[in-house]
Amino acid sequence: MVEKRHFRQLTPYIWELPKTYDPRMQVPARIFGSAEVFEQAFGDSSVQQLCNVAMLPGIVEAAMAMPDVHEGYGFPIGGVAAFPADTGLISPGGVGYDINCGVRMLASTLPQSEIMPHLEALTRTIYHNCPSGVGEGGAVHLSSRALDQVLESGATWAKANGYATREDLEATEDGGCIPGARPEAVPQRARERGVPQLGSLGAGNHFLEIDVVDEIFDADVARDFGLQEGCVVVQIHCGSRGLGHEVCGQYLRRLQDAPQRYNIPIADRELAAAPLNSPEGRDYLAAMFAAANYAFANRQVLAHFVRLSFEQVLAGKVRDWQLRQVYDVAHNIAKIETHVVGGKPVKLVVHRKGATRAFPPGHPDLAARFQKTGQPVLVPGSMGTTSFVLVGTPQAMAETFGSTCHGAGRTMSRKAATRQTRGEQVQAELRRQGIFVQTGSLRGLAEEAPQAYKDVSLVVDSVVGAGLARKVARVRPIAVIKG
Amino acid sequence: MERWAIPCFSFVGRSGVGKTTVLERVVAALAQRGYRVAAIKHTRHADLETDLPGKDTRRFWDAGAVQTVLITPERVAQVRRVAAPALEDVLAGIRDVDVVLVEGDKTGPLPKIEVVRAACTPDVLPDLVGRIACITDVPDLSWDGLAFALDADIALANFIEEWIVAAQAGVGGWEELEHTADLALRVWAPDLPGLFVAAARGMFSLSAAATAPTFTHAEQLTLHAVDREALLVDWLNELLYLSEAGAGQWAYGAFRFEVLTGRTLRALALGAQVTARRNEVKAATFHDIAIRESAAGLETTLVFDM
Repeated sequence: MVEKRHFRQLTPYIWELPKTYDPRMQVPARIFGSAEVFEQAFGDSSVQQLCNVAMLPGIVEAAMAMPDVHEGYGFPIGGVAAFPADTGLISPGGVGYDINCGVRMLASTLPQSEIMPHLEALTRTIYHNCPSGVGEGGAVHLSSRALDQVLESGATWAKANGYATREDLEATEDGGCIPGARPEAVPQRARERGVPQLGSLGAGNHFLEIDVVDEIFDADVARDFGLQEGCVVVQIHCGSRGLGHEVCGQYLRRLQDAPQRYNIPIADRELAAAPLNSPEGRDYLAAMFAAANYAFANRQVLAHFVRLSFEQVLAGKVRDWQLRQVYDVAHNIAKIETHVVGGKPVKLVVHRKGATRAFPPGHPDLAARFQKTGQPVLVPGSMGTTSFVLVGTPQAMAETFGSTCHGAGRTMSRKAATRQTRGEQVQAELRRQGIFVQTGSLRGLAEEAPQAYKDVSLVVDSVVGAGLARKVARVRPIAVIKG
Repeated sequence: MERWAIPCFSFVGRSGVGKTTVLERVVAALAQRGYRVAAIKHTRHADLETDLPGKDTRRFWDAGAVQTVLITPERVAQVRRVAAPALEDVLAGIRDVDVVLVEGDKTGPLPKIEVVRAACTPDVLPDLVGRIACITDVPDLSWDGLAFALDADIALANFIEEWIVAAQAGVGGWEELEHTADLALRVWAPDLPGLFVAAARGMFSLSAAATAPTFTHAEQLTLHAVDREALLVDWLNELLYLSEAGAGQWAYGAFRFEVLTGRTLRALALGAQVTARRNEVKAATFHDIAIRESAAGLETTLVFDM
């Protein structure tokens, strides 16, 4: 079994397992993080999972783990892996079931003191307007034709239907629409599940949170992002719902014999992969992009209903309740990007599973308003703890294919969490801290208890230490909505 | 737990086809084998008399009581006035029986056994949803599923008995394993069908905290896969999909395999309505899956995406 002693420390924040550790490894495996983060990575099977990724043929540079790494299935959560776009692989397991699970942040200039008298009413209104819970229907029911448009054009569909502004799209990764999505590559069953669920939060670790900007680390960038100390922001964490799960499941099924047919050795069946330039590889990419677009539209519709809720509860009572979008990031996705490898620009398929894109200032894929600052990176903490707004750096571009962490990262299983605490206790403790909680499942609350996660500050300090992002602001929650 | 839920079937067919007679004989056969059977009659006649005129409870009823109950040393007879009576409400209150047999309710969701008689109309009802078997004397019936001869009381009672057994605790088992982000189960059973049952029940124990007391839904599954591990993952994901396909959510807990080889499966699954949810199980994954021989027979690890 792989142990700490097999690794060597390259910098204070980079730990490398050389590929000589196992003859099947094509590239080294790298863990980014402080000594403490490195230590924690051995608490579960994440390091073995990272080694399995490093064994995939054609993988470029290294199999990488961000500081919030933890055990997943197939790829570890917090994993980044890239393959050449022309000759390389694509793996549905490297994206996961919740395709384009991600985070959106909306910011206001509303001071906390003005929202407090209305907080409970506002939270209940959002809970009512933004459906949550297992298999729950969404705020919008689509026709089959409208679903095609959502799959093809994502948040652009939302704009055409009155759910988004132009500024929202500019402040969304890929403008909220990844080109190359093909609705016809999305299996029928995935479509069925997608029709009724647009504008829904789902359950599990997904949440909607009202926060207050707690601390500003970079005043200039924070101003450009629309963040003001002491003012209210909203975070929405969710993905592509049943549609995405079904796309992943159906293509994993279709790819079960691909490793044999294309002679791709894999260490775990969840890593089933096909050449990107194969019929099934191309179909998966097109279907995965379509699911990603659905997720962008989903978060956009939810953002619309959050704005509506703010208006319903706050209009006439406070001066300015408007919510401007800070950014929307994907953290389960694979994308075609150009990166410099061996001194030359190369087109790569970058898989990010529980990792966030963190492009630096001047990157051509960023909207004009982020050219000077770099891309906003949203790092939600666990429920009831602080979250961070970071910004992308050139170093992330050079070392991690422009990637950074995506959250706190679990350290405790759901089972262990429910053994240690009850939902009522978590709710009472959060209330004691001044955080109002609205949930459909107390057990779900216990499973997501803050103590089941790493301290997000530890993760953020690690990515900042490693130079994979810079701190802009920290926010702390005042109300949480969970399915 | 004695059983997952109580199997429940409705006997349907055209008027006058002989449903009551068939049902009466099945009840007799099952009762003789020691099973406790609940039999429910579903009728469209609103003014049907349930109490004899002149009896005390009838006098209370005529006086305007909303509920009358007659208790004797051996039975309880209850009559209630209900604005819009729903079979599911009645089923939700049923306890202490092994099986529920309903006569009628063609349009309801229950798994159905259709009675077709040549002398009546020698064809199955068009557009009937949820048919799992037919009882018939028509030799070339346009139904390619399970069919029993009209006088084959024993075979039909055996079929229902199989479901009573299938609803009870299985031959296999499962336990939750520690997994940081998602949920994992170790599942074991003496044989492959047992393993598929234990895996399905284990999965639904993760997604459902409580279900209705009766199975009120049936689903037919046909699957093909490259090997038995892939078949097991397909089986779980198919059940997961079906459990959320309609309104509400189902937990499947009783199964009958017509075919189960390493690569093909044909099965009927009974589901109970989920009344309290637990986790959102997004999918069964291929991670770490390997069906191994063990002391228990067969076992495997299953990791679910949450």
